[in-house]
Amino acid sequence: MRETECRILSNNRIAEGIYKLTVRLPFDFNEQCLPGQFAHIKIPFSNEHILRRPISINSVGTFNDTVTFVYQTVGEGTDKLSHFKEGTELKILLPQGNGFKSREGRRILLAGAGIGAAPLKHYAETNRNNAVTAVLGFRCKEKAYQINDFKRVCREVIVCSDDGSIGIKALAADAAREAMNRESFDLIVACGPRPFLRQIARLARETGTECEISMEARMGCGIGACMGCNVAVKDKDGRRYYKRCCAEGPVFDSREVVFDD
Amino acid sequence: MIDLSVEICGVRFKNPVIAASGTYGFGQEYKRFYPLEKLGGIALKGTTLKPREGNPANRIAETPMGMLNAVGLQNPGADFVTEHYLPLLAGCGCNLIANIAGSTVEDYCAVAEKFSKTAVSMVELNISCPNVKQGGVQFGTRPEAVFDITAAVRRHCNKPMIVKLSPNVTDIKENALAAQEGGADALSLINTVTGMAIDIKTRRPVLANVTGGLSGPCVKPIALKMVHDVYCSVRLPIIGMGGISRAEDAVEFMLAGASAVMVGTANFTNPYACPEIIDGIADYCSKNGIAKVTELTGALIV
Repeated sequence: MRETECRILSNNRIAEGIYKLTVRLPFDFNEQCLPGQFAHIKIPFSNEHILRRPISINSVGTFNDTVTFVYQTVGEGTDKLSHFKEGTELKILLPQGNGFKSREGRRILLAGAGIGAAPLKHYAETNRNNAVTAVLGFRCKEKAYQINDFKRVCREVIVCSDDGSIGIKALAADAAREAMNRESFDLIVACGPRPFLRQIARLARETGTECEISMEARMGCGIGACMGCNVAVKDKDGRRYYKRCCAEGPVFDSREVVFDD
Repeated sequence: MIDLSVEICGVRFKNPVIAASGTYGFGQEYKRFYPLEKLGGIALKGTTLKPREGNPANRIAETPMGMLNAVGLQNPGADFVTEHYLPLLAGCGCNLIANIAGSTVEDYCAVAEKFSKTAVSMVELNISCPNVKQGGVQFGTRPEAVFDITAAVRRHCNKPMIVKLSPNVTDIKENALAAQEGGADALSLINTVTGMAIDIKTRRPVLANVTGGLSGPCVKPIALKMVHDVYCSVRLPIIGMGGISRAEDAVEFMLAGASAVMVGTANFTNPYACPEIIDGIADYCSKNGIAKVTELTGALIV
């Protein structure tokens, strides 16, 4: 992890409220950005927004020279970020947190809902040798993105939407359950809103499937110092405590996360 | 060469910039960005006798030019801090300040005793945390309570003792005087200002704790005024803080009467905030013909 100054190469709307931002990494950047890791991005020219925004990595350039983020505009900060064009310098802490564990030769179910699909694309691209099925859920057609990118690298892509305007009409968690009923998987990798992750965690428990989920939290420092981004977890004896989403996460074993809060 | 060193109740700091408690953990995260020996000191994360889980999520909300936090003193407890973190910090090349908190006077005294046996340079009495139900600010609002806890911990603490004052009071001067009479060696101020944020979509408070402590540049004018007030009314050295994010801010606090400053929330915005502020203070001094940074303290022209 380090702070890098990265120039924006492109920053475009790819769906309703969804933007794709690509930046050039400095020449001396030699760290590997793993799927599931994130960047902590300072909103430029904006003293008002004192905290950085944690945004997951969507893909990394072939020569480790660029990195792409897909983010949703959820408030003033991300809305401001969406207005910066090519050439703007961004201050980025990268790569942050722990990514998904790497696997070889396994049957993997990716389950992404909404903006949660974004980090799974990087995962799919780096796990082409595995038999990957992706379930991608969106609220509606206007909010769907990167489906073709997933199709290029996954064995199967199941798209669903809440209103049926794209793919099958189903909630993403239900579509994931349907896929699990049809065939067996060694591993589930999921990212999305908390209620969705809760259902995915239940699905993993009921089917006895290993499952990694990427959690979201409001972050302060993003490097593990401030204790702001707590995620409730339990140990093997059921003792409850907090982990830091930025430092011990954002990827957690679904069995350890406590959802009943 | 500018002399940036300052002395606070007999403890020598190579420069007047100290990382503020609660924003810097136990130093382990920031040493990946720069050597800790750059700093004048580090105020460690608030430590209680027993481990504390802290508050549920959300603990953080961004607000214009600032942020609210309600972490609730999550910490691994005094034994773990002294046995695990202090060895990791041994030889880090700057002063360590233990920040101690508790639910009862006895807790504070017990933690002070534990740190008295360690290599920390000073102890900071946190009687101003707004985010815990018991303890914290309940000891820091009324002057009589400030006097009582300061005097009690004083008897169990063989290190120079800083009392960290809350801004959430009618007249901070009275509390500063009470801490002085209770035996404090120095004062640090301000802790966070109580505040709140509401999400109109869910109609709920953003923070699980409902209220939190406001910090960042938005509190700087409040903090400066309080440092000025306290400087005019007590003899003790003051460590000023509240929204310091640039060297200019640090200079303002010193002019208002601070002997040193603490940098907190700015570490989140910019992990290099502390070393940049140190370099910036040296720059300011050299451009303004100031040979020793101590010349700035209280040099405000009114």
